[in-house]
Amino acid sequence: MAQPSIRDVFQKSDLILMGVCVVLAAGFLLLTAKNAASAGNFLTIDSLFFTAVCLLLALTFIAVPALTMRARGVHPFAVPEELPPARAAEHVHFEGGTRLFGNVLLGLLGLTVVEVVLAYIKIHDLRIFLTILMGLSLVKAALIVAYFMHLKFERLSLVVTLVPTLVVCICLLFIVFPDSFRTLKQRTNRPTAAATTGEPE
Amino acid sequence: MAEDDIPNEAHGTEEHAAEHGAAVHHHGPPTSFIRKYVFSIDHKVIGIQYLLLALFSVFLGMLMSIMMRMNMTWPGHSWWLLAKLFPTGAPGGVMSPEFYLSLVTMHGTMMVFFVLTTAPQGGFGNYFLPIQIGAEDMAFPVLNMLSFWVTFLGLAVLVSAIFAAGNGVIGPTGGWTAYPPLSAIGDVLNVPGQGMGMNLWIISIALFCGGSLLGALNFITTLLNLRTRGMSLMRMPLTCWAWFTTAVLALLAFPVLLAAGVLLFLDKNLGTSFFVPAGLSTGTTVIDHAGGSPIMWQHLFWFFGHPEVYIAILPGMGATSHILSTFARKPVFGYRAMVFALFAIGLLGFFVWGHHMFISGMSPYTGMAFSVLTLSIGVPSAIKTFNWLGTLWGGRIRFKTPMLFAIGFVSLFVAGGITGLVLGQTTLDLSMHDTYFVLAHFHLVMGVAAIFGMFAGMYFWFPKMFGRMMNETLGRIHFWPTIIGVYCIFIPMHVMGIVGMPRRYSQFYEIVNGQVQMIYNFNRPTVPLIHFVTWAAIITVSAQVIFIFNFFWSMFKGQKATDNPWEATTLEWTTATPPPHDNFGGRVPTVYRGAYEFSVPGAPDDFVMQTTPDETEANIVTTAGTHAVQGKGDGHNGHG
Amino acid sequence: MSTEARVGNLAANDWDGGAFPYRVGHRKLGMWLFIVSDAMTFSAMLIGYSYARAASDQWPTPFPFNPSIIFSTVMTLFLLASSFTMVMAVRASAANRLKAARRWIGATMLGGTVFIVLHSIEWSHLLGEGLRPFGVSAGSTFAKEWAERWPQAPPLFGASFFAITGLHMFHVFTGVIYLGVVALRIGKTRHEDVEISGLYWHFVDLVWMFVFPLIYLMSVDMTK
Repeated sequence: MAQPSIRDVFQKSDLILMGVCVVLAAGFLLLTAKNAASAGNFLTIDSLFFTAVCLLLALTFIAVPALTMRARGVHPFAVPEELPPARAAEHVHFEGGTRLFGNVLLGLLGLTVVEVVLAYIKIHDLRIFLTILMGLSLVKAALIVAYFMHLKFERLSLVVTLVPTLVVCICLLFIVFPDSFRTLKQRTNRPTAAATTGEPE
Repeated sequence: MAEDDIPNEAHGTEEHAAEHGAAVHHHGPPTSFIRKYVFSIDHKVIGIQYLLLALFSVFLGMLMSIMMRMNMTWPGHSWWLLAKLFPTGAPGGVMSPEFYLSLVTMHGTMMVFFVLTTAPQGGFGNYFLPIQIGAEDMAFPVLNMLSFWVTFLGLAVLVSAIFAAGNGVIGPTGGWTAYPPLSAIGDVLNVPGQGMGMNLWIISIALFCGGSLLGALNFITTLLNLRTRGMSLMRMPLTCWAWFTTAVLALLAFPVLLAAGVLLFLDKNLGTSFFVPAGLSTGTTVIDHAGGSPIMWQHLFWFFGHPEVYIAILPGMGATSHILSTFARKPVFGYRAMVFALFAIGLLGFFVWGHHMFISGMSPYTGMAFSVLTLSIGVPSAIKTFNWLGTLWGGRIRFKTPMLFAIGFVSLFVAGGITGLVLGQTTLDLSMHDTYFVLAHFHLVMGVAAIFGMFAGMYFWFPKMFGRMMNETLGRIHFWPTIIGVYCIFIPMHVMGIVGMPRRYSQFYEIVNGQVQMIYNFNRPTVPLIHFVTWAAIITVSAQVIFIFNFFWSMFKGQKATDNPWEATTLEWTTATPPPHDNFGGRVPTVYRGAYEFSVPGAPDDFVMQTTPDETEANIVTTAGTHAVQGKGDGHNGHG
Repeated sequence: MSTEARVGNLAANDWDGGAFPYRVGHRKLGMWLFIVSDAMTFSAMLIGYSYARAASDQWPTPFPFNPSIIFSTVMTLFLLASSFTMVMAVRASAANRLKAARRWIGATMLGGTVFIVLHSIEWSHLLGEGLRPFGVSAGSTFAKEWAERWPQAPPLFGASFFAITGLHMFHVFTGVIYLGVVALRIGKTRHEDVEISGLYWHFVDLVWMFVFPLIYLMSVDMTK
């Protein structure tokens, strides 16, 4: 037997009252948060007292609907013992297991460690550093997309729809960089610009 | 993303789901007024909501353009109404230059975002894309509703920006492109209108980006996943292809504008300097922003801005192809080429944004590349134009109002597109940039042409949407002044541009003691043209009243429409007029042929509906359909 | 989606209507499209940052390896680990082990929350040292140091740091809430709902794989 839903068990008036309780509880939680955010020094007697009182009140108000629901056998967020029909009808085939995902995680961690080690030994030529970092990051991104996001196990048509679109669009944005380098040139030439007036770039 | 599911708990049981088989949404038609007409998740209602939103915006935008023209033509004249409506912006009924600029900004923003982007795509696309592919609704009906209401909120914020007064002016004055540094540090520099008004402008655009993004992913998903049996990609009407391409452009372009908008907002309110270079001063103090680059804003903005131009025009192209074929009683000439041309235009549209920036100080090498790519857009555009002419050639043309507007679209597209080839060349653009030539170019090709596409679509689809025909005579009376009027407005503007009249100037001459005194002497020959254009604009705008009258009058008093008044072939004409809540009344249409089978030899009528089977093909599709039903059934369980 | 091939030339008919051409339901396809679009937002942001950096002759590199880089590495590890727990949640959900799936999602939310908390600590630390969106606050620790070491640098370091990590943190924050909703409703949802929440979470992780090297590692202090 499936869980009874809230609407089967309660009348409209019950639901309204419970809603009021939840709203009040949320309001007190908000007050607590506001106090925490706006108090300059949170760890004062006043502030802690205010927090404790607000939390207590919030707990009191949330306890009413929670206990009522429990008493009537309604668990709004319970995991059902029997699978809901929509789920039971699904036959999901999911590739990959703990070992595969663990390996991917290890790979990602390994690549991250390599990046951090590079930062530790300090490659002073930032262009080389950037190139290596971006190369490693692309590998990491590919791992995440392929295994964690499961794109490797989707149909090829989905892959060839999504990936090239994104890659082309991002690469297109790179057209801005000639302007960036040009600006740099103009900026670094600035002190000597007066000396070489009129000289074309 | 999370909350767009249609609760199937309402009907819950397996049997019910099975009974509805391929049903997209298991909800019945809503009964309460609010769920039916306001927060509706029916794509048809949302489409009409979008159209009404665009109608409101387009009239506001047109009124603004008339106000601008009148200020330019009769400078110093005191307008009683202006004095009453805008005591800050137009003290004594005379418009201040800043107020003129804020009108420019509002006119541009409203027209580009809330008319040209919403009506063809959000309006007609929403209404007819699902019907034309045989679906019962969009893939995400709740998301669809959200995207409309987010857009509506954006419009509300934009309208409120008009009234954000500051420094004796109303509204932001940065133009629809909002170039920094003035848009970024306008309030520091004490530029009128660039304070709160600019903030509201950015927020409005950010909201609009969000709304369009939701809409775009909904369109793409719907078109890919919800086509009915037999509706292969190459059997889709060209309208669907156009809406699809537009949605892809929107999906990829709007997020970049969103990012740029966020950065601009930070520049403006948190003192960052992404777009603000060093060394600016108010005259007395030096602004302490440094290190940013206004060119970066232009890059990010136009990365969105150029695809946006195609977002505006592509749906019009689709509707035009569709209507030309229907009223010429001929298949579209070169259907496949049309599809590829659409895609080529969409793709190339991403590669050419730099042609808006030739004089921004960008690298000349990139400028050259952008120039070459820009000119290459001429190729697919020419393919489309020739195919439209090929469709008309030798057809038994029925000159109904939609057809007139579709032909008008072709004419305007060509007339406006040709000057694009002029502006696409870096050398010519150097002298033409920011003149009335540019103004005339993009108004013709992107503004008026797209609006003609919308008019064509409105006259064409009105019977399906409202169950009544629009009045034919009034339609013709609307068409002729409109097409002649827009040419009278914009052809002289090309000449003004070549003379050198710059955009966005509120006045070119003053009237002193009844005598014209030029502010810029080189403009003297254009004075009569300015008058001519203004009168043409007033007459053209007045002619739109005919459309409005026709629209609302026909909605209630028009002649009743049959299910297929134009003898067209696509799926929307197979269902009732207006379509029921689930579009096909519980029936799932099966498609057996392409979208444009007109004048087929041996057929009983001169058109063959897409749902008409013929013996040989019916067999093939039925066998293929067996598995297809299976696939669809599974999928829809999956969607639930 | 579970449709297995029943007809020999199924692939040829997939695009002919009446089927899901990618064998992917609406919501998953929609999420993928959203991810593509959101990736463009982040790309534009990162390109903007790179543009500004490449156009400046000096750029501050103020993050000492210890503690800044180590701290952000720990944040990265938490995010990566949460990505792993998320994929395990999706796997459990695919096998209809709902309680396990809920636990794994809880672990993911925990990882995300730790990330947010660490990130906030880092932000408040940097703000305390004087880093601001508009540059550095006058008279602060950073102001003195930076004026000596990078006198020509534009005031864009803080701007790009706060803008990009802020946008990312906003995504993590919404992600945690989104996962919370999915976890609570796991008895009523279908597998696809869990899966697309996972897609979103992995995407947030993926973005960090670019933010971390570009914002942190490229700003490592070369002298310490």
